[in-house]
Amino acid sequence: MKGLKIYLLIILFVFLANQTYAGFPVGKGRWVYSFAYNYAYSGSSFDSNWHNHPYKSGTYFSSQTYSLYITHGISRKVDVFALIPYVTEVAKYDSITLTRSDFADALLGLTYSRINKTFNKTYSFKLAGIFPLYSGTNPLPMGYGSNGIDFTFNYTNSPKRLHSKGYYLLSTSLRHYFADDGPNQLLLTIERYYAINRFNYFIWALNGAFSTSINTNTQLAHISNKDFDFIQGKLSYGRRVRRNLTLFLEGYYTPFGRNTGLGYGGVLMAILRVP
Amino acid sequence: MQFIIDNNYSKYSIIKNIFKIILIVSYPVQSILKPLLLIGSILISLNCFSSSNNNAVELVFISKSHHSSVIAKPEFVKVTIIPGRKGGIFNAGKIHYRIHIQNTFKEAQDGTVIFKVITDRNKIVTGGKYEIHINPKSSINIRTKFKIEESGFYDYITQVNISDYDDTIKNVFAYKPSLITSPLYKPDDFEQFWIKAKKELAAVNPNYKFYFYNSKSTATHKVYYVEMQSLDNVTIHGWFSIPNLPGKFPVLILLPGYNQKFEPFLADDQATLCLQVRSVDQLTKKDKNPKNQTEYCLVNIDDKDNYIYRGTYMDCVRAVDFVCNNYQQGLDTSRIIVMGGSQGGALALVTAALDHRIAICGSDNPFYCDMHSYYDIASSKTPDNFPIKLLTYYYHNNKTPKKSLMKTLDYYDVQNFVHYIKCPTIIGMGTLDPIAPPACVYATFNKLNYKTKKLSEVHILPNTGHTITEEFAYLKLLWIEENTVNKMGQ
Repeated sequence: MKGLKIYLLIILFVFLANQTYAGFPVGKGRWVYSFAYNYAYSGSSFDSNWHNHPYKSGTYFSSQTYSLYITHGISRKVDVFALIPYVTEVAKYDSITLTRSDFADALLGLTYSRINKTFNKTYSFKLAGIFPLYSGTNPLPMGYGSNGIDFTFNYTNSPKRLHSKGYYLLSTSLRHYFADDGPNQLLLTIERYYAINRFNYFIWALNGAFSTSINTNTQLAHISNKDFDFIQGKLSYGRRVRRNLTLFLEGYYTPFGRNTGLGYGGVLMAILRVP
Repeated sequence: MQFIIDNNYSKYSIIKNIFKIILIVSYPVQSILKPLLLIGSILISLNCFSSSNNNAVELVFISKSHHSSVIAKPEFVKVTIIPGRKGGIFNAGKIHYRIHIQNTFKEAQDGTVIFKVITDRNKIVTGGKYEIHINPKSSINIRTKFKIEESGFYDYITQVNISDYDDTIKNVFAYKPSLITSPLYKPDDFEQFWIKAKKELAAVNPNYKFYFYNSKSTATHKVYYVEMQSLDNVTIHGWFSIPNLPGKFPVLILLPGYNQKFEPFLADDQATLCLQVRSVDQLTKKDKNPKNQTEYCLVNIDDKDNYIYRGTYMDCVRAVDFVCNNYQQGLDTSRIIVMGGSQGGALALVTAALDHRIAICGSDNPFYCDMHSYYDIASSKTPDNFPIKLLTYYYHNNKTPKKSLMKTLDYYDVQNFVHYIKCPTIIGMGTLDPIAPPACVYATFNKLNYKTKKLSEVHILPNTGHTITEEFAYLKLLWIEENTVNKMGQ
């Protein structure tokens, strides 16, 4: 049972949430809905010295996440957003298979964006509350089970003036969970968004998650680990299929980590603008 | 009127030196603060919290180095004129300006600074003269404060004549622009005149034609050269482009500037029609240019019923007909946007007034606004500029009395139309614009009806001529986007 970590998918929600509009304001009066399906799989784990160890044969962790991310432009600079994930987890080891389907940690917050005079640089500040929509850890935990707060700073720079022609995104998030043992987390993203043409996009990104807690117990199975680090690479292709609908197909891999699972997975996401 | 001269230090230099002292004193704790300083410096370098004076005018005189063998820092005198309100827009109280003169020479500078405040009709309102002495490598601030009685746009002229610098700098400020009024020379039969023109247009079979243009089309956009019949059966053209995606697209009608030839415009989120209005050649071929006038704005100017702009304004209405008649191409006819600059800005306002199918209007530096004031302003300040030069030339050479010329123009003066606009409208104007003087454009904006004005925005662009700033261009697109979204909600 050792090494079955579920924190990977918890963190993933954040990166998913940030990808929608990358911190750009959605526009006064507009709604943006982002529906995502994410499949994650972990067949081995990293120890506290960043060494990778495969699980025993037939042991793995997998999850399927359905998430809805909603943003609404209250004004030119302020958006309100919410993320609601629903997760099905499967932990299999030896002959035992544990599964749980439930809502996970929801996010609700505000984004304040500032755009420079030539409209090619955006600075956005997100403040969100984290609210667990589940209780208990049986048979598997859906998250840390405590409320938290998330502060994110995003900086985007569009070399060709208009962000629809491509941009860089630098994102820093600080998270704190209001439990005695935290954790405190630092989440970093570097993303490059290329516009192949007006309707086709290619994205690569590097995500880093650094979580610290006084609780360094990583030995218990099914317990969401609070003391870990990982670095994740991501490739994504997007295509605008209707005036107001864009689809993204994404693959990610976690090559480096500490006290975490070596995971990979894929995401299918639809972003709908209304109107 | 008041003026104050601060010698040697500006506020900025005091803050800079305080910051330097803090850095030196805090050196031992800098190691702790380093990460914070790093983040701070990144934010500053990204201009995140910049509050620059976007309306200050700077002029720099740089001297040649006296030492050819040593690379010396260039010495200069820099004069910066800083209005007391952002953009030089004063909505109440006294007007105040700061004249900052920086001297990096090793020698002191002596001389005079003269400032004058001049109306847009070239009359001096107030002014002052100061004898100044600037120490080597230092700066001074001259603060001027004065009262203005009437709303309007004024030139703030600064003449600096000191040992190593001699120049005149012009800055324009607005005083209570929302109160700018101008007499309305609206003919009694103005409404009937345009109702008749629209009726005549409606009687013309538009006969829309689409020619798919493969070489101008892209993987993402289909481009068509379109053709339609307008008033007097004149054939007008345009480039029509539409994103190659399913869905209903808002439509952007781009209207041309004076003699402007459009290329197709491919927008990510809109179908666009770049309209080519009638040309002088077309009228000549149809025997509708009896004086063989070659200058567009002068064709039949002494005949209100045949002035070229009667047809031009109707061409724009026909463009709206085109959009509405071809909705099946994936066009959202509830969201038609008209936009243009200069002549195109005037056409956009007129189209929005004549045709209420327009949902949003964007107009940059519209000319033909408040023509009587324009005539006075331009004749006294920029008589050699377009279009005043052409109008003056015409009435001198054709022995047409100015009064008669203006009578025709009253039917075409944009300020007589704007009262009828019902859609949100954004107008931008440059303070140094000689073709569309800001006082005329603002007076026109002030004539929007109350309901429309509440939905609309006006932007004064400091130190800008007959163009718009990049900043305003993006802001306008954002504003149009927001209003497009709001229109959907209705």
